[in-house]
Amino acid sequence: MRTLKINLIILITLLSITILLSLFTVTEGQQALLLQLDKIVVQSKTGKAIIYKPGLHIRVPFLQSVRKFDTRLQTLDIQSSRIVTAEKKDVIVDCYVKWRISDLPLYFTRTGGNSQEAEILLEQQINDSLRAEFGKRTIAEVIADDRASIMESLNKQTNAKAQGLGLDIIDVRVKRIDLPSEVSAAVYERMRAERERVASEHRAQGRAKAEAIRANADASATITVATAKADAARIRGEGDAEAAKVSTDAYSKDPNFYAFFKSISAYKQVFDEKNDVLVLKPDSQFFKYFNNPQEQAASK
Amino acid sequence: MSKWNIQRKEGNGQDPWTGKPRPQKPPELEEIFRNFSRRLIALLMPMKGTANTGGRGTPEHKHMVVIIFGFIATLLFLIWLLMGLFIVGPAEKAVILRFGRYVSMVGPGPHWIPRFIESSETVNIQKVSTYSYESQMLTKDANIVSVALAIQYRVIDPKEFFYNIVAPRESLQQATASALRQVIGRTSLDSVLTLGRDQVRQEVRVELESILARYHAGLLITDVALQSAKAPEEVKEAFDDAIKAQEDEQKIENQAQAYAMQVEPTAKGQAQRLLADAQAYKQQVVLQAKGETAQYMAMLPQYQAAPTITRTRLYMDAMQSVFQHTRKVLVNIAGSNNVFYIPLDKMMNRENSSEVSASNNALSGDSKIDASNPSGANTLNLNSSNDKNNQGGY
Repeated sequence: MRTLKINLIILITLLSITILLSLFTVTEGQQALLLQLDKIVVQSKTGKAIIYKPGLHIRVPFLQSVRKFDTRLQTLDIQSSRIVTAEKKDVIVDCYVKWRISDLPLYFTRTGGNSQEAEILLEQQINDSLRAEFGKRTIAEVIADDRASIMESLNKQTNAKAQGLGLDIIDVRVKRIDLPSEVSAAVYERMRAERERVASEHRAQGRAKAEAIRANADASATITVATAKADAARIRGEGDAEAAKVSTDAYSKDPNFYAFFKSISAYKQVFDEKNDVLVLKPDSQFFKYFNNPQEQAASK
Repeated sequence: MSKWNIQRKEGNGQDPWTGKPRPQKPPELEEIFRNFSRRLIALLMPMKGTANTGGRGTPEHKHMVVIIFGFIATLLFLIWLLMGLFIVGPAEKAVILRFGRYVSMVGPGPHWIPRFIESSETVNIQKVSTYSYESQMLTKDANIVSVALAIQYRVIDPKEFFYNIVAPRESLQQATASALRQVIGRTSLDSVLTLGRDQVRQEVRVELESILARYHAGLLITDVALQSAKAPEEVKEAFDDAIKAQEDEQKIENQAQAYAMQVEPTAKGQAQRLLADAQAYKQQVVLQAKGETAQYMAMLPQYQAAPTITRTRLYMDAMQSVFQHTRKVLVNIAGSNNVFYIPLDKMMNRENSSEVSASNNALSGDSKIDASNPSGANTLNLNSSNDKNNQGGY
């Protein structure tokens, strides 16, 4: 009886161990394959592999084993590689791939369930495709216009390859397209020259505008002054005319006397300087009495 | 039992191997433990127990076993119960998995789950995280620009966040880099630096959201901020100078404006002056004419009354005035066309020394004064004087 009890205890223990071993859980984000002697167990009816979704499952202990796989979206980061564009210039390209396992049995068969292996295969494919796509395009196209279409065709090509590995490519994205450092220096040089051009353009424009403003100002000043001069001349002319009219009106009353009057006042004005020297003959009317005070009514 | 105790006693105080005295530590705890384990062994291994004691199988003993097992089981159960308790914070959500499989999502508050069967993972779904990305990149026109971008995001779907993607935050960072570079790559440098900034920001956001939608990362972009977009350090100087040039342009223009502001009023002033001068001239000339004619008009009746007398008087007055103010050389030769020399330049210079003798000679009319004229045929009458006294003598 006692032996029976012991046996019972042993049996229960073994049974619970067996149950524990035959139970297994698959967590969210995972899927599991049932393996028997490292080979995929196939459902007898459908001929398809048994794939376990998240939850609690049972297997045959010892004989069957379970491989769990992360079926979440994974990232393959492809570090900078130098790639030649159509104009034989190098660019440095970074990209990454978002992939996940889509066909678990196929994935297991092709890669042995080793994600590193899968990533190496993918990386090779991406590198090939990248080189092909970049080789067809110039740097300008690669950077600006064709970026999206490059990514699209990378996506397509990689997906084709990945399907064969039981993978799904969600996204292939080019992260970085940069110029090598020695080319960057040239770019900086060009940018600097470009800025210098802009700077001198601005300054020249400033000078041009300034010159125009100055010229306009000068022109309008000149015109103003010239107009004023013209007006002034007219006014002066008017003055002269009026003065002439005044004179004429007056002098026309006796032209004879005017001639005399004007002459003598002119003499007075003209010979006004001490330094003026007059060389005279004493035969003018002024000197009539100069040499012969007795003479009456000299005819001169 | 007694055997154990005896052995214990024998060994007490001395090391059983070396025979040296042991450190006298009170063995109470050890003792208790030993007793307990012995009992346990006795319970679990009835065979040995029988051999040793023979006190097995009594109802008393069975009762003990039940109590101990019950105690342990209760303790474990309580621990298990306590382990199942967890609290979800006010801004958090928890995902509950049963045997690894998603069953539900619970909100803030205390919760209980049966451990080992269910598990939970908690995440804050309100806290906004920030990720900054700064780098140099190529623009559409193959220039290099240095851009800093900040992404604000939060977890919106814990299930996707935990179970759909490996490293969701890193994925966001990669997507950010890719989206930003793509958008900058199709924008020109000028645009990035100036007006296109907001557009860049929006395009990055749209791009990023579409990428994340594909990944189902359970993240929500709440804001994208373009923190800075500037020329790289290497060319900063040239860019600064270009900006300065714009200001210079303005400055030069303003200086010209200032010049214009100065020149035009000056010209207007000048014009005013010219016109005023002209007006003044006009007035002056007319008034002058009037003045002149006034004298004339005044004289005219006198002249008409006695023409000869008035004429002579006027003439004589005028001549007197003329001769009074000038130097005079009277050449008293009638009808002669001989050449003679007058030292005009000397006369000009001689201001004060008056040639009285010459004038006297001139009066006498027979003095030769020119030595350089040896022919001697000419008689000169020189009167060079500004002296009224001299003149008064005539």
